[in-house]
Amino acid sequence: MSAISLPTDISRRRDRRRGYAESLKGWTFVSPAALLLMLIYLVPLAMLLALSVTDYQLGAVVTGFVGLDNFERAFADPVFQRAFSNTLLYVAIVIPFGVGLALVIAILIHQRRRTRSLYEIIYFLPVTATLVAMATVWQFILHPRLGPVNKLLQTLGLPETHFLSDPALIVPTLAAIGVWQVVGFNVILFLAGLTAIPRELYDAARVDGASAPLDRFLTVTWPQLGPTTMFVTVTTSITAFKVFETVAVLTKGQRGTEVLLYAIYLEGFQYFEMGYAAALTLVFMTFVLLLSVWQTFHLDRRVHY
Amino acid sequence: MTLGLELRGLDKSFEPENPVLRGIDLSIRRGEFVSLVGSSGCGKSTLLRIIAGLEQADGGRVAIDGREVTYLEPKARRIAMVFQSYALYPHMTVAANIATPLIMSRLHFLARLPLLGALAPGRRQVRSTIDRAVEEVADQLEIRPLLGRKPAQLSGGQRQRVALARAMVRQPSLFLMDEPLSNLDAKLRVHMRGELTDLHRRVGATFVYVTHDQVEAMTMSDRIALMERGAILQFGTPSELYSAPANLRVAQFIGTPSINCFPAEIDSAGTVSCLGRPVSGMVTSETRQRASLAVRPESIRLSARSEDVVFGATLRRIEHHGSEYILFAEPQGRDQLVRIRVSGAALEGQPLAEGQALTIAFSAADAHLFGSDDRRMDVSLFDAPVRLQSA
Ligand SMILES: Nc1ncnc2c1ncn2[C@@H]1O[C@H](COP(=O)(O)OP(=O)(O)OP(=O)(O)O)[C@@H](O)[C@H]1O
Ligand SMILES: [Mg+2]
Repeated sequence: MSAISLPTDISRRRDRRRGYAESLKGWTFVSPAALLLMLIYLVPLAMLLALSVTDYQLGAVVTGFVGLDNFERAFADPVFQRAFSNTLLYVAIVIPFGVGLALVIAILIHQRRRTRSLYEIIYFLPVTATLVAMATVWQFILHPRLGPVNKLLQTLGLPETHFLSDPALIVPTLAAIGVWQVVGFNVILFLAGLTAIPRELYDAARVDGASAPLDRFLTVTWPQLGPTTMFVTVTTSITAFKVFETVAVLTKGQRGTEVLLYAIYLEGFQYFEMGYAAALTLVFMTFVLLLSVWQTFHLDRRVHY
Repeated sequence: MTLGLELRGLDKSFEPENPVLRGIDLSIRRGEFVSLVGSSGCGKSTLLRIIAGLEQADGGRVAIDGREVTYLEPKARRIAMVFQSYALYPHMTVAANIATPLIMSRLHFLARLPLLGALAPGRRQVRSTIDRAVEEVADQLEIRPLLGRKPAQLSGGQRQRVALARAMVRQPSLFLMDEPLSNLDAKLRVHMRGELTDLHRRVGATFVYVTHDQVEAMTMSDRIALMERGAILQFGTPSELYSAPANLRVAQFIGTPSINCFPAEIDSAGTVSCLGRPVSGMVTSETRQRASLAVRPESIRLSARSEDVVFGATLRRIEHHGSEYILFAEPQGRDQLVRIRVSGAALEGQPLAEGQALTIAFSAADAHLFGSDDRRMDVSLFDAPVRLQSA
């Protein structure tokens, strides 16, 4: 027996040594990517977590551990609550219009042959423009006395409307600008989805009797666009949750128009409450993450076949 | 008797300088199985799409079952179509796929809507008749167990059957199929060939079947329309196309291995000569032109009879096909391989080796003569006891 066990023993040891060498090689290959991932994503996230349980203020000398106080304060804070509901309203307007309008426009453009790329460029322009700069343009357009929108309303005999100072109108107005900003990108995504639908499916639908535009849409286009629609909806909602520039330029959060990101910005960079801002950021991130995961899983089941 | 499908002078071009269909005329009897064959790009699919109403012809008429349908939408033509990619709706179950044509034709628009539809009066009864029709067709094609699945969960052959079921369910008088078997593997294709022929017999509808596979066309069809560059070269039964091709290109398209072509001349007296030697007993009424003499591989013999056209040749290659052999021989002084089909029995006790000298021969009665415009020429044959010596 020993004559047999000896060589296996040696080979097992050799195997183990080869195993170490193998895994060392593996770690070497993985390390650059792992290191970057750590530095760029995981370390900042960990620091955020750490900050959120302290009362750290920018430039403060002493910093103490406060546990979950920051979170308790956040949920009791009327400003944060207002920011939360404003953001929800904003998102609730931007998602259906930003997605629906883009779908309609994409279908209309898709039917054009020669002018298609012209329309693509026109609708894509807002995506390339800096929102901060464009926000000032919107400020002019919506100005109560000088803006063309109010001129138009006046000629129609409607009263002067203060889009950017009437508390009931501010968030919907910001949302409209948000829609204007995301539609172009979504149109491009939907156009890519439309191009990928096989022509034979439309032919089959026509032979089967689905030749009216709405029948064709319900039988072929809409189901075939499922994966695209899901992607567009998820990215649009993330973009919408991150609304910041228009608020910063147009209202500065006055008259109760704080949104989540703007509230965080105020706490962190105006009042230097870094610990509190970190807690708000964490709440914000968790919320967006949960929503995206829910959307993905919920829609995924109905979209893929 | 009315025709199942009648095409008169169909023209179509996508670009003005490049006509895709040029004056297509076709009369197909009710219940006939007709194949459209031709090389890639000759306009088969375009013609089928015009018959279906998916494409509008630039000129000409289409009539189905004696009814003019030239300007009707596909759904009004009482046709069904099977596509090369099957074109099943991927998000629907098999049952819903098959039911779609019936839902579209029998349910009112409001009754088809996803939620509101449930409120429409009479919807329940219509749905149950549709479900029964779907199950009936599924039974015929033996796909009943698959009704709850999505197309992505089916094999190629099963998808094919679902596509057929969707076509059959509304009992059309005309079936249009665009290369429905080309996505299947060789064995399944042979099997489905038989099933399609059975199906045609059972439903008794008119079938127009596009393929570029001449074997499919020859084995399944009552008649074949052979197309080239937007025109029909010949329309006839498989045996007519094989034994009396109307055009050199028909002769070349039909038959494997393909027909042998020899350059020929016709002198002022109408006598035909091939490769510089007169063909005994072959005379035509047309005179003075270049021509081609075409001979099927099985009509070429390795032993000469007195009235034959005879060549000396060198054997270049032998292919074994089980019960028969295909020989490739190079005639002396010509850069051409002649294909010869011989049965295994005929070669028994006569071993052949590549490189050996052969005498190959055919009789004028087995040769087809085509003029310089590739059209078949009428010939009169008489027995001439003149023996033509080979070079
Ligand atoms: N929508 C179109 N626009 C422009 N040209 C087209 C269109 N459809 C077909 N053609 C052209 O018409 C010709 C015939 O096409 P068709 O699809 O009918 O050929 P086919 O005989 O079905 O060939 P295959 O065996 O490859 O399917 C081709 O030259 C093709 O390029
Ligand atoms: Mg084709």
